[in-house]
Amino acid sequence: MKSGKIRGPFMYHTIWILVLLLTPGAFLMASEGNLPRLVPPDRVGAWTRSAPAPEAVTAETIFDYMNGAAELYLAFQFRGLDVWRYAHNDTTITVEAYEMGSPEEAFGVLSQDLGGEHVGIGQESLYAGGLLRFWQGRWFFRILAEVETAESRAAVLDLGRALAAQIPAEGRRPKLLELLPREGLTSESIHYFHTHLCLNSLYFFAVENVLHLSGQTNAVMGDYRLENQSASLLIVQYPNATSATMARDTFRAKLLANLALTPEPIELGRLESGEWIGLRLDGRYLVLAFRSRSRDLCERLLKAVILTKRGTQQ
Amino acid sequence: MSDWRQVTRRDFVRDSTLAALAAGSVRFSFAAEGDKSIVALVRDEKAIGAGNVVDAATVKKMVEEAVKAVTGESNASAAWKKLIKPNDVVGLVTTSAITPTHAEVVAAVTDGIKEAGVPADRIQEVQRKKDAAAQCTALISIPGLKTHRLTGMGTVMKNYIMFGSQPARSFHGENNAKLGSIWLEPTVKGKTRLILVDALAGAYEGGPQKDPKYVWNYNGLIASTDPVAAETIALKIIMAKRKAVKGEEWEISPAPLCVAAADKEYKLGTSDPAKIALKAIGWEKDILISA
Repeated sequence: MKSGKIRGPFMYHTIWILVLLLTPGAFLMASEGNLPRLVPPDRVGAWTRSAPAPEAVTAETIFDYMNGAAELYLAFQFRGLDVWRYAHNDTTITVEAYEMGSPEEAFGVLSQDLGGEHVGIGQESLYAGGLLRFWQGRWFFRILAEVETAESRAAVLDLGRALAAQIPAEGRRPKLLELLPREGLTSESIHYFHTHLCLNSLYFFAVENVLHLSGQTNAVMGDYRLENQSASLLIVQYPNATSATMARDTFRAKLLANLALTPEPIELGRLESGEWIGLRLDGRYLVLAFRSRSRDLCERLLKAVILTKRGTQQ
Repeated sequence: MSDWRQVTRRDFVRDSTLAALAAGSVRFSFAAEGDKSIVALVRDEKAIGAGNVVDAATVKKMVEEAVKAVTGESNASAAWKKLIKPNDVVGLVTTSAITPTHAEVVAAVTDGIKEAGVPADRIQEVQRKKDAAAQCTALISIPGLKTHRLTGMGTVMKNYIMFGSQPARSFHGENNAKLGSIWLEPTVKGKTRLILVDALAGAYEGGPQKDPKYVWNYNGLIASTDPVAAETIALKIIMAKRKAVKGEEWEISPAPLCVAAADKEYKLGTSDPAKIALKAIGWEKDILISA
């Protein structure tokens, strides 16, 4: 994973002032490094934007801004964050526009939690309780009304539409997601990520990074319900087969050392808790089925992952 | 080796850094009932109403009930005098994220401290003000009830994260187990007189960024002089809420190792439910835990 590009606050604000002075009313503007800049409306419903320019948050300042969750954004090639605030009487709406390294990374941020009402904004959107989250191109948005009312909901959705309209719909969900078998997959359980920190925020395997996850790995995870049984499936794509094999060996050694496993290629074992776990190593992919009371479902899911296409590994 | 969490726990216990930190620690003295730490859970259905409007008078009564239960005193004034001395310099450690500490709770606590004889100019908010906290002789920790995507629990142990000598992010992920070490740093060590978890509203998933779909009104306060016991009860309530929402066990990720570690490694209190005397007072509907 590439490191995030850091924008200097001085340069940023200079460009912003020039944009506003020279081209009033413009929406999507070219600025530093041809990165698009967004201009949300001055007013939405009864809410008025508090300042003309956004608060600019960089990779250096995001820890202060977040008060403790910056890593979850930095793990997806975070480039920068613009924050606008709208006020009406004592209520506020906060607009956060996160610029990520690619559309796949923007989806990755959203996929950390796919719960909520689909409201048809951007390339994929979710709304619940006053909070709208969506991705469009390489941007991820969070628009939060402090107090949810019919009026604030309408304002939040209008803001989302106005911002989404300024960005071309480019890119799509990560291709790796296509490896998750469709049958029985719970759509809101899908996650795309790279690092151990992200995995641990979704499912806790171990303190140690036993799967050797890093910025160089891509991973997808999903939950399945089939015939009254459930399981989770994790697919990790490593840079090469050697690193995948090393990760598999570490996982087996650290967590399954005394567990009787069926022989490769589908390794299955039963934990003391009664749950089954299954592993499958195939080239640069490691596939895990877990969190299941069903041996059959684990085996079925592991076999259902199609890792080669016309004889070529995906 | 066939249970991941046992494995990870053993790995955790082997951590030499933790062992070294624990070596110099001492167990604080707590309000106790026999050999049990007292935790008061006070709830009132009128505390928070439509539009999330907080009833300040109700909250004040709840705070008074909480300190009475924790100290065993029959009136609130005596209870506060047992917790705070007139010559104390008192720091209030509140929360601003996800489920912020309600101003009405802070106001009730401030009134109580004044009743103990401390003038207003010696009571201050010290969250994120390490130097100010260092000057205090007494701290009241008033966190919001919540989870955290990077530390598991984001309530009691994490409330002092800005007082640590290490950057806050060094306690994220599996390192949340080390949050208890902060409580042994000079800025705060031995100063905490009361933990009062603002559980008027709680967040049972996510964090630290607010996601309203995971926030619910619990109408409660959790009070103890034992931080680990308070965190243990908070965790039980959150786990029960998660189970109620999902219809099955729903574990927190990352695992909130900080709770057991605060007990076993840093000796800050007890995480053993058998060693906690829970005093439930008031509204029982949807309490999610039994005394």
